[in-house]
Amino acid sequence: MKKITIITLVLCVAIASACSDKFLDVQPKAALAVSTLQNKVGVNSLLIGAYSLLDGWATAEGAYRSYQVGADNWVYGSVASDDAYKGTIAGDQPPISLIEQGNIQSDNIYFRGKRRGMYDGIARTNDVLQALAATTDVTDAERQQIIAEARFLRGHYHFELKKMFNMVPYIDEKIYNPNDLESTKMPNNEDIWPKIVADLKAAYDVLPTKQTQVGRPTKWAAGAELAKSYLFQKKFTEAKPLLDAIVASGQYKLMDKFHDNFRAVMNNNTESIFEVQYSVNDGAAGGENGNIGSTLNYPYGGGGVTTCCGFFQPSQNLVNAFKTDGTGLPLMDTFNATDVTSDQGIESTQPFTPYAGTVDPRLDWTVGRRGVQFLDWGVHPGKAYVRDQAYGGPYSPKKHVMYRSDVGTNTFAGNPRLNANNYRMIRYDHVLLWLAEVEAEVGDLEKARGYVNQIRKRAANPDGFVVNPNGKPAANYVISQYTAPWTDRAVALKAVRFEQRLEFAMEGHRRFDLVRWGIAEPTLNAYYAAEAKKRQYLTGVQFTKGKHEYFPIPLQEILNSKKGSTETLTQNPGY
Amino acid sequence: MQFGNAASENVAGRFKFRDVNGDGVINSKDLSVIGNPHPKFNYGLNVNLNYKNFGLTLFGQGVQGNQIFNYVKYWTDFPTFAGNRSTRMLCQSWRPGATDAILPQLRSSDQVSIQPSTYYLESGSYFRLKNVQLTYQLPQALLSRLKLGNTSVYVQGQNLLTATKYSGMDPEINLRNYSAGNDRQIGVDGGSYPVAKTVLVGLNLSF
Repeated sequence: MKKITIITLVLCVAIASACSDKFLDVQPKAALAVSTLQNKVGVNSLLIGAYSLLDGWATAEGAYRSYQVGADNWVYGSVASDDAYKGTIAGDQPPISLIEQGNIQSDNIYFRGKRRGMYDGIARTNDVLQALAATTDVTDAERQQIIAEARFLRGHYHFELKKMFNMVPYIDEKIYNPNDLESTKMPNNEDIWPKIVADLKAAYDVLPTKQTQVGRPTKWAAGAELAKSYLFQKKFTEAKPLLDAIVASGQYKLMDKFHDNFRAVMNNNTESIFEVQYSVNDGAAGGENGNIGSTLNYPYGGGGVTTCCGFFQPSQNLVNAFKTDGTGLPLMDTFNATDVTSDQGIESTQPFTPYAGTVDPRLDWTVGRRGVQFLDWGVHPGKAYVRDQAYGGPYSPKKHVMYRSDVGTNTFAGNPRLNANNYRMIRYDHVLLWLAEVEAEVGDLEKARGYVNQIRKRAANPDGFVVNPNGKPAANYVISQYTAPWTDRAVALKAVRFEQRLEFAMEGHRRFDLVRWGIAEPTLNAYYAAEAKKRQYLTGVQFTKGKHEYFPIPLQEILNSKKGSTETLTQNPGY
Repeated sequence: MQFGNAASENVAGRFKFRDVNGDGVINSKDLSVIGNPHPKFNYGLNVNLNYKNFGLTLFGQGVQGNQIFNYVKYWTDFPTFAGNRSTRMLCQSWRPGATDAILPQLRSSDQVSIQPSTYYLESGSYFRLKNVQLTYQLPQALLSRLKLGNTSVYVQGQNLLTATKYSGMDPEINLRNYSAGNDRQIGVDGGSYPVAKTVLVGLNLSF
């Protein structure tokens, strides 16, 4: 009996030790397990993936969503402002028209596209941080650097959501659990500015002043982004030292010519502080890394640059804003009283006399218009470049457009609309004009004037004027610096804001700037009333104060946020 | 009460949207489920008639009580892109003097009327004669003289008749797969390719 007991025991022990249930856990083949990425190479690859969402687009949903989420925010920042029309024809991409016409509804697919793109980016930054925590083969310095870059990106993605939707949940690596779909169902009941600031500050404290690889943020990029977030919070005194430090670093300077900021061959120049890197012919089968968010925004017909699809046409109001008085200063109050003459209603084959009045030379690097050299594509022929002039007006976008000389080298084979002309998210001219804004708000008005004059001096460089094939400047360019001292804070502030509009027009900032300045309602309602005379579809459009400062939380996301039967997300006021 | 910009929408000749939640505003809170893609019943019919040397088989099939979201009208009845339009848009749009219309007043830019609404909903009921076959069996006397076994000739028609009030090309729509990763949509006609009418003439020979 005792023997049997011993044998049984031995057998039990033998069975227990000989065989574990490990064989039941087979790692899937041909799939990337999280553990595979918990090392230096894996984490760095995840980090590149997190950068990749800067253009908002990385999913298999087709190019369609890319327009909703392009880095330059052309729909939300520019079309939804007084800078641009949707353009093209009435019936193409109607959801953009609804936004342009102030018919802003929570079920508009554009808002959901933007939101998903940004939260995809946030998820990727959290993947980096989670994988890094389980990684051992990195040095402490490398670890700090990876954390800093991931937090820069996470701060940026949340910043994008904040300026779009205001009340959004902040998702960090402690909340985010890729194995639990419920984990990110967080309420949007708190102001996430402090968390955005914490991320950007953490990046600022650690990032080096120079990076060995282009495209990665430097300390100054993080500082500029952090300062920008302070401007949005009206914390001017907090923004000032960050911006001053960038100037003091001496690392950046304005390019001699304004338009050097808008050419692929001038990517990552000394004015650039942070650029969204586009690339082509890099192995991405569909050219997806080549500014796919702007792929609709090129002239439509008439030969030359023309491909597709005629979207994103500058407004008459924007063109008028570039008018200058006889001394070369902007007409801040009266610019829209009369129009810069255009070829509206005139066939390309009919004669047209261009506007002879004085204009800021930046106009013709921002707007394509008849009679003016269009990059290196020849003189803009007017109506022939425009898909439906009666609907979308006579102008074409210009800043992001590729040059003829870029075709083949900086454009995707077969589709030049996918090209490597980077989006300059933050430039040194931003820093200078933000400093001007800070000084005009809380500091020294004369310093503000000095910063604005630096910008205007560069714009006035005659080497940077658009020149027509006859060798002469394409228009009557007259621009000068503010010579009279600034003594009135309100006037100074107006001038600074006006300068920002001119310098950054068509770059997706305008509506967000108007909102943060608190002048969106009067500015846009005046715009709608006046512009409706040219674009009839703007008749009766209203910006409602207290509502339209922010876009609505996408309806589908509210439905998806349900825990049980309770919605976690709350809709913004007024929607 | 209208959807969107009151100045352009709160006028005669526009669609009236229902204020589903009764808050006095038409917006995305008034979205509700419209229509039902599921038939109340499916049915089929098989008929086999033989008379002397003639045989007639009929097969018909139908569904009753479902609705189809005729999304093709997004392209044909509204100013979406440039392209061909329906005669509905030409003849049945609202205009002064013709206010008994099914479509809103035509305008060059109209993003409101094209919103999903009951305008797109139609009855999806149909009965379709899927197959008709008339067979003639050649007489035995003739066949034995030709030293042939059973031989027949027939005429067959497929999808010859469809009884439906559905205005789209074909009420027998498949699941719609908008794009990769999206849900398949049942009952949404996004331009499904219609089935073909086929007429076959055949000969059945045996030796």
